[in-house]
Amino acid sequence: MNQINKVINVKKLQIIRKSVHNFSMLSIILGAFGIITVAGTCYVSIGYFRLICPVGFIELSLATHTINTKLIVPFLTISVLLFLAGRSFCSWGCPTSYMGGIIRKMTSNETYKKYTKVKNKVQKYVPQPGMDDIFVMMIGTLIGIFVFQYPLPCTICPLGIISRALIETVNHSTITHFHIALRYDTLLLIIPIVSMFLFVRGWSQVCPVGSLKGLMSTYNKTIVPSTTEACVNCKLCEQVCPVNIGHRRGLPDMSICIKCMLCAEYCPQHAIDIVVLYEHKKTKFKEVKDVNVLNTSIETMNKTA
Amino acid sequence: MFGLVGAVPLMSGEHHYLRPPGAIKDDTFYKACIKCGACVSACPTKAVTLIDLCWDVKNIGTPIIDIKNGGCIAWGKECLLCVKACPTDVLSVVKDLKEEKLGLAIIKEEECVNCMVCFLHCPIEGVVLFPNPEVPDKPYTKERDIPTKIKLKDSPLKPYIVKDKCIGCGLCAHYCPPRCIDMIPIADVKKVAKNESN
Repeated sequence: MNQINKVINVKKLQIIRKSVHNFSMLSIILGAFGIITVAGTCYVSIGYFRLICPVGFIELSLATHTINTKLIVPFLTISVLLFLAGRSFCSWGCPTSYMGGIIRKMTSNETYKKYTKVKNKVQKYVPQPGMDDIFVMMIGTLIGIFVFQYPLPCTICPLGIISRALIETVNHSTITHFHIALRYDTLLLIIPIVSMFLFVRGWSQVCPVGSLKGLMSTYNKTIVPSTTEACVNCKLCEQVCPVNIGHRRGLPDMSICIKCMLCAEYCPQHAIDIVVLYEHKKTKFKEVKDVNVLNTSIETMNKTA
Repeated sequence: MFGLVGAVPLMSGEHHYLRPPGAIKDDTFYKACIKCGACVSACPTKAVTLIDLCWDVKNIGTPIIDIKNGGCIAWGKECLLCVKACPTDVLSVVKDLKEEKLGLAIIKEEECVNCMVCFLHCPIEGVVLFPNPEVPDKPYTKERDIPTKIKLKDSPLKPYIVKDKCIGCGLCAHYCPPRCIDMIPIADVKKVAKNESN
């Protein structure tokens, strides 16, 4: 029992996660050169190992009213991986969250405080969709794809847009004429950027790919952040969380958690453990005592980290 | 969301494109394409590109052969790498390369300068022809056979392309210096043929 509940070293895991995220971006660019068949995040084919975007596979099957037998094995492979990994793709592999992380770092400076204030005000007036609303929207979209035979999400998916932009730039830029090939449909990335502004959890709240993974990982219990008795309820973890998970004590909502482990990294009490398999225990949590800890902001944590 | 999925294909423009070899019918192409771009990376001449933002929204991200970047070499050398790379079989296996047609090339005679580059790059002999004033039944098929006097820039005689034999690879259009060769996709060619027969 002790071996299953092993706590993983947070710093090492963060280094691994960031390397995997960087490698994921790099592999898309390498795939654009044609070295390995990595067509962005849509399709991966290395020898006998093949993966296909699950949302894309479902869309195509509905739009063409047939199931391509060659793609069943890659679809099952990715489904099994996602079932085990949960929403960790969002912080370990997604290029959209990579760009989003860069934007978030840029806007967490002192100069952007006004922007943060306006953002918080706007978010109170915008209706925030929950997992149920997203589920209904997904069902509506899928029925629409079946009836009208058009896979719309593939066209506007930011993963697809970023992948296509990288592929186009790598393949059609010329050194001799100093011409960098750019795609105009990169402008459609305004949708996730505006979502970062309007929604409390940013683009990950409405992302169809992320929501599908979230639905599959509702009961995920492997490699999760678990709060221990050392917690003093300072709520710094909630400030740092990029997807703004509300209630945190015990186990967070695994259909939203993207396993970025920033909560465990920034906790001043080191109260959050990353466990291999979560076991529900009745822990006695402390009440708020230290006011100074409450006033700690992200900027000061950034300076000390 | 349901309405948005329906509105986009209904409002998109009706347009046909020069697709890579092995492409399924243009009307159903956008339904089966996952827009991954594997064919773009696989093409050795970088002729394949993905459609950019345009009014034909339903085809955004689907592959076409852009003659500004290159032409399809599959009829000259052994290629079809795009077909092998495609995961969804929207570029399905080409059974007989001789019967495969991508489109049609037409030389605009008013702009042609008789440089003969189209002769050099056409992969199939007997598609690009030069009229023979002495023996009208036997036009010239090879560039080196044409006497220099009649192939000067201001000569009234210009090369022309046989409609039935041209497979529409786009190599002539890509290498043509004054860019005077138009490519018509196979879907539009069939339409024109239908109108002519009626």
